[in-house]
Amino acid sequence: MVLFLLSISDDMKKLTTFILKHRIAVIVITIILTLISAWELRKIEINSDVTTYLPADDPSVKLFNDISQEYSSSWTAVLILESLEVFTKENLEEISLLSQELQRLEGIDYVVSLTNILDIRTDEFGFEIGRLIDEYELPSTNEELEQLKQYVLGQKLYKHLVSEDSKHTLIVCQISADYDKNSIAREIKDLVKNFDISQKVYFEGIPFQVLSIMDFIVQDLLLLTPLIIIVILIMLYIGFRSFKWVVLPLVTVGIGITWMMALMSFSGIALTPISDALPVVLFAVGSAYGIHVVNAIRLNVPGKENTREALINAVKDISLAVILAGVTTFAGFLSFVFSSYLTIIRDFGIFAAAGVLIILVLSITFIPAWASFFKKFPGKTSESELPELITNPFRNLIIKRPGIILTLSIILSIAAFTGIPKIERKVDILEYFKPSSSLRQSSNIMNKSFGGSLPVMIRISGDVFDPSTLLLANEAATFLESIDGLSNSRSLAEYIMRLNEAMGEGKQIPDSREKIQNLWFMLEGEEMMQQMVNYEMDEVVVYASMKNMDARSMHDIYDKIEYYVKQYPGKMQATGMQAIYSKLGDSMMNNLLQSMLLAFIFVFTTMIFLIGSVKGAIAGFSTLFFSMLMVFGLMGYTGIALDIATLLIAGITIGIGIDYSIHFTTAYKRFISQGATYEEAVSKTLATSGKAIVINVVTIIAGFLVLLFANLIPLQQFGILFSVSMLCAGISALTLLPVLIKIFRVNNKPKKNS
Amino acid sequence: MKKNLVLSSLILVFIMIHGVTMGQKDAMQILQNVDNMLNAPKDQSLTVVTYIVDRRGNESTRELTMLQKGSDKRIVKFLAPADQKGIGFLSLPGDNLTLYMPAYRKTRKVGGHVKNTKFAGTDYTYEDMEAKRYTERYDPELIETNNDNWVLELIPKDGIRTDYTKLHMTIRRSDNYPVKIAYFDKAGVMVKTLESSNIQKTGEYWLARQTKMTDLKTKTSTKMEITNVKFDIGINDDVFTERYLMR
Repeated sequence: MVLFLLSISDDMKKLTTFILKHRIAVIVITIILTLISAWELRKIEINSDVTTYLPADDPSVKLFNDISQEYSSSWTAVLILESLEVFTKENLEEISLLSQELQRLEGIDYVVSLTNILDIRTDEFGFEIGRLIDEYELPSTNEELEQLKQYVLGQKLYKHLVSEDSKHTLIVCQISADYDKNSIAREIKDLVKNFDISQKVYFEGIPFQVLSIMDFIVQDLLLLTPLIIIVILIMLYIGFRSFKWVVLPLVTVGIGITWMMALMSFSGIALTPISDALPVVLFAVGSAYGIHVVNAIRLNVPGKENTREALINAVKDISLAVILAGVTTFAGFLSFVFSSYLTIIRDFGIFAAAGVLIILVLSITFIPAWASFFKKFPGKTSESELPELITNPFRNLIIKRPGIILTLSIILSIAAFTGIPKIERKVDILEYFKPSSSLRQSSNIMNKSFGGSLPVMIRISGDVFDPSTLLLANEAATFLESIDGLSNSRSLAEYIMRLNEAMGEGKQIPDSREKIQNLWFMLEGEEMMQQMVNYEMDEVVVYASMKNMDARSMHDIYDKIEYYVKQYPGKMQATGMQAIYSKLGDSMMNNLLQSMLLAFIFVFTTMIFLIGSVKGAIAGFSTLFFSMLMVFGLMGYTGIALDIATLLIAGITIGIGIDYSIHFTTAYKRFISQGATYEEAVSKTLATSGKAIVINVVTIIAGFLVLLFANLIPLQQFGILFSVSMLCAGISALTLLPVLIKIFRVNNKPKKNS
Repeated sequence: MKKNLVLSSLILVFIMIHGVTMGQKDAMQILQNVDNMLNAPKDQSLTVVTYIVDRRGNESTRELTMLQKGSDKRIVKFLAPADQKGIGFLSLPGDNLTLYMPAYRKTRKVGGHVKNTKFAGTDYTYEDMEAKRYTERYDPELIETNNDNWVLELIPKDGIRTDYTKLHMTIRRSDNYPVKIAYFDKAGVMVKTLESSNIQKTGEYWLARQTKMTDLKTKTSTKMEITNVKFDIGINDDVFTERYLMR
């Protein structure tokens, strides 16, 4: 083991010597590659289409996509029109005109609104199948309007179109399956903006959510990236008090991120609301490697006669720790690749890992090459004393009162542990937007006045003309409607029953196949029917709307529907947001546990390699375990839920948090091997690596707190959680770790063979 | 000077009015000829096969017979596919439409709202199917003349309920047959086209054996092929009754 580590050290010496010999080439190649990457960046795409984040081979997702494709049903853009009273002549005119204007947009298949919806009316002479409202003679007198209002509010078919208090009505636009959702959502918004309308318009539905996320990704990138650069600049300047030392690690990370994003663009992977945090994450995480290298150079080179030799030795000394720190972080990110249900998490893992690797390589090649051109090495004179304000009390505590550290850690761990069962899961995309956002407002209206807007579907296989199929569809619709949180069930059965009533045989499914065929003749070709039955006429889809609710309630609904559907094997299949969100929730838990386990294994193995003893690895690992407990406890007690962003916390905490233990342990071992006692080694480690750890923890926390300014809530919460976990990892590496090292007697005696 | 100006203005106005009336008169004459040509037969009996192509390119076929007397009495019965066999429509003057459903053995009056809905899954609306004289519904204007055709712009007369704001009708000069009609919506956008082809003379009358209605927005189309036609066979008025519809 020691030989292996020594060989890395030797190799590093050779590598650094080689780099310094060819330093111009290293710098020129880096610059050329950066220019090429920057040029590639212009092609980077943004994918804000939330439905593409789910794995396409999941049965529920597949069925959802199949139904969406075949029945073009899930891509609806909804306009909510709000006024004191929908049923006025002016409002109806507006709705009519706006519906017609929308219908003309290229990407819209058809529009359903109060003024063009299909209506079946029966009277003593016969029936009318046509439009609810005559577009050429809109009702205008109070009497006509009141009559219409009473009729509409009394019909089940229109419950999804007009609210019970008749203050809201919807215009539902069916988007062409092959049309770009972002473009059509923008076109609709532009059209409404230029349309002279007195009613207040809210935008609802996946196309608008996709558009908002798209805008947020761009906004976040443009705001957060410069912000993190400024924050890190300030933090580093406070730590190093030298512009030269500050710029080196920062430029290195900047170059690394440019390469990584170019790689993303080159591989055709688009930016998502998760990966748009990559620059922030990599700036916060990756700057550490540069900082450690720069710190080593800063502490060892000034004043030395042979600057080049000193530089080589400084890089050699630190590179082992930096490489191990980088490799563990790399492993932490990689843990998402093997365990993710969500493609966006997987992509995030791949490119974060790639970014770490690139920055790591640059830190031990590009930084020494550049630093070797420095004529003057600003020495310790300009060094900040601030970190010592933290490390000094720690030193006293470790050496004089180790019991306090241990007891406090145990108490905090137990307290945090009790919070874990309280952790909630958030799966609804809506929750990712701020409560004040217009999307949340429109969803509130949908939940309150229209029974929600999330689609729930049951597909029933069977000859559509066979009365038993429609009876089943009607039964399924009634069942869906009986579930709390679901409403507005609709299917072909409802239309057929109304027509049967019009034929004078009561509101029920006709008793013969021929009758259904006759009635279908009236409905065939109606655009709305495309959503209800397939072309082959051997499938019907029953729809219902679901309210936005917490993950647990959604899971209950999912279970109920699955139980119901299973009673008709081969005949019924269910899908919808209840299924997708439930699976997403389950997978998030699995994902968290898997990534945590994988990260533990990766990192633990690395630790054993580094320390050369299982006991030492356990000691180093305890600090991580402590940090993880703290984070989960915090999630449980503060209500910060597990979601697509916060589930990244485990893998990243392990991958990055271990760095502090690594830096501490390597420095400690170095001092022990030089003959220092435990107390001396701890003091010296705190004075050197300890300082770098403090600077790094503060930098990384400040960096991640930048995410508080993100538009999407999960990113904000991720920023908070991660800051807390880094704080815990840093403090425990500087306090708990030395105490545990003593308890486990890890390398606390000088070894002859080292 | 002032006198001259007034005089020349008057002349100009006269020329303009005259020109317009001349144009309108010509256009009206052309449309009148179209109406006369289309409505020349006293009665007709047709067998029609329709091919409906939906937006995904799926084609479905149906067959129907139609008996028509004059321009406002019409009875339609579906022959195929089997699940629609026997379904019938009776259209009488005064927006009077009756539907017969054989499975129920019942007729039902169908209301006027139905006009802009599609007829039996085709790209024709009930309005498109109406056998009405163009001159009664539209004011024509001649907008193009070339060697083969006239193109008329038809604007609905006041009080006429229609989904369209104008029609562009291309009329073959040789026989007054309307070979193409383009339908424009309220925004002035062309939304549908009706093309007639295989125009043959059967007996004394010209008839397009094939017509194709294309919906430019939904990208669907309906082709109608007349497989059998008889003119002036002396259809009895009794045919245009509910009793006959139910037979």
